[in-house]
Amino acid sequence: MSGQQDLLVVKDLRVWHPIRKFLTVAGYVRAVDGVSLSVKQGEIVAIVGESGCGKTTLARAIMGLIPAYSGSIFFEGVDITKLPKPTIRRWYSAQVGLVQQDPYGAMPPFMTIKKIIEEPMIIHKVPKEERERRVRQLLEETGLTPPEDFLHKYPHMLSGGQLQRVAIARALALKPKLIVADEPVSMLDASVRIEVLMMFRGLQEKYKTSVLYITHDFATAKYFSDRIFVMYAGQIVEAGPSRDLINKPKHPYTEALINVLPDPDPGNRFTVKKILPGEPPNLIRPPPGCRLHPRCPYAMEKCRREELPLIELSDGRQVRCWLYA
Amino acid sequence: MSEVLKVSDLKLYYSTMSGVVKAVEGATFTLNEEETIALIGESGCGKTSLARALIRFLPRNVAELSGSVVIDGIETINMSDAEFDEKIRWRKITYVSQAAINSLNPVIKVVDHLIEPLVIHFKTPKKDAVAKAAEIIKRVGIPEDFLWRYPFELSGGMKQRVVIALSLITNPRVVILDEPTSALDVMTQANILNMLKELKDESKLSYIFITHDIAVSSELADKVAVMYAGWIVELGPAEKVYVDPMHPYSKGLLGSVPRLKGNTPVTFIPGTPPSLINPPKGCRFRPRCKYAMPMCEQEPPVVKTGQGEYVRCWLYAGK
Repeated sequence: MSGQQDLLVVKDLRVWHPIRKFLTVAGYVRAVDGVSLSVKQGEIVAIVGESGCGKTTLARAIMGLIPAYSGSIFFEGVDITKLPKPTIRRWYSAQVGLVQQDPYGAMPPFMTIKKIIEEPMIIHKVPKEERERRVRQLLEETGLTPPEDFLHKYPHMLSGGQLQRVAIARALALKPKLIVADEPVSMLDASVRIEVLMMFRGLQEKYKTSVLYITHDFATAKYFSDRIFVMYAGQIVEAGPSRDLINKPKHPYTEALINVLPDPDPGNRFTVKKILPGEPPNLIRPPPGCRLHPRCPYAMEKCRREELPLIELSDGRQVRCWLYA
Repeated sequence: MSEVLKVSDLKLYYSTMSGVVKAVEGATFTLNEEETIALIGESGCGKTSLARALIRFLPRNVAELSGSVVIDGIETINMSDAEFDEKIRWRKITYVSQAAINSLNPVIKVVDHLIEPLVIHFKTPKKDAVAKAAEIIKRVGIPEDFLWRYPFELSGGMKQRVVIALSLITNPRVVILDEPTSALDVMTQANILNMLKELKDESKLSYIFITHDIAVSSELADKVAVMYAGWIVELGPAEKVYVDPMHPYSKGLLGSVPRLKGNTPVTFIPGTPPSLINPPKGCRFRPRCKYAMPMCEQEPPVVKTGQGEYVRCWLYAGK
């Protein structure tokens, strides 16, 4: 899928949450701090990181739900950080779909499945017959067959896996060009998780939608995404094609994360995992230089002083580490 | 190695408005000293019910609890709750419940959480109990001065360590760990698992490790019990179950785990688990099983595959 046009380009994006004390701003939580990335048409890009690394904030900024502090987000060449709110609501919100983590929380309990999937189309003024046809088609496509069995049910009557299918159907209702999926399967059981991801992938290929897959799980990212961006403390620390990145991680943080993730293997119980000491830094006052240096086993003098950009490597991968400079 | 827990033919039914829920049926396994058994399976398969039946943390709507549970040589199934409390709970077996990190009271200091079982169940003088708490908290890798802090001052990983310390303070033989790491980040999870491995060797503990994460279960398991719809469908040593599972459900479950190493394709099991009020006749996995035969409409036999190992499937009957 390479060689295609970039659908979404994020340039040096900063999302800083102000900490207010009375009427003044006392400081900022630098949730996203200088992130650049791109998503091509029809590509699935995964953002992987631990909780608190800023991946959900990044997703919300891309959705246009929270304002950026600086930097730009180009969607089909239009900088959405500069767009007025009504335009975002009218135009942009039909171009991007959202699948949230918790399917139970994402569905209004008093609406039927039909109404839930139909709602975005009502808001964007799709004619009635078209809506009815589309709801049925979406239910069939997401494997909720026959549609008659589901149309008039309420969310509490469905299982978690089925609800997540409804969430995907709703996200696809307006045929968006981009879907932001924030941990779409982390609450599902192992066997259902793969089923939902495979169904999602099939639909993504059919509609040629791009997907931004936000997750903490490298294993599903490996199977589901084309490229992975690894985030740590508000920054991208490594990026590359999924399988390459997982097979040969370059950044010390990625390396450490992948090393502690087990595969089912009876030998695991006899080994002690090597872990990074300490915890991710406070994002109000992140450490100077490389943000990983207090925890990094390879930290050098330079790492403590100088911050560095993402370095382009010859094999098309990017890494933010002085070891490769 | 001595046997610390022997469960035979354990049955646990709940009564509900819509009928009797057959949560656990015919569960049989043994656990030796310094051994870990992992209970794996999807949500609603009865893992937690089974564990809670062992330590008698049960809701009021239990319709039937029968079979045999021998803990450290003592048969407990017919004990009254008071007797169980006095002889077994805390002394022989403890329980780290799911989402335990949220069960710490934010306005009670760590030390008061830790000494409570000693003061209440063992009538230990408070001073000795505090000394014991100081010793145990160092063993789970937390500095001693954290005893005097409140739970809201601790990170998730530290809270989980405190809860594990609490389950160890009374020197039990068996510790039930119910999803001890599922709320934690990968790095913290690895840290906790490392600690559990060390503690087990130091204190000659036996663990019952409940998780839905198959990869994580292999970090501790010596034995694996795969559960489906209230049954243990396969019980065997880790070397067998993770590498070459026998039961069609175990095969499907392991096949659905995405792997970081290698390029094994992932598969899924079509369908959903059955209702436990009206489970399918015969084998409960039959409607989803690709090997289903006419024979499967009868209850599958428990086929012995080795010392204390079995698989509940017609495919292996008569072999």
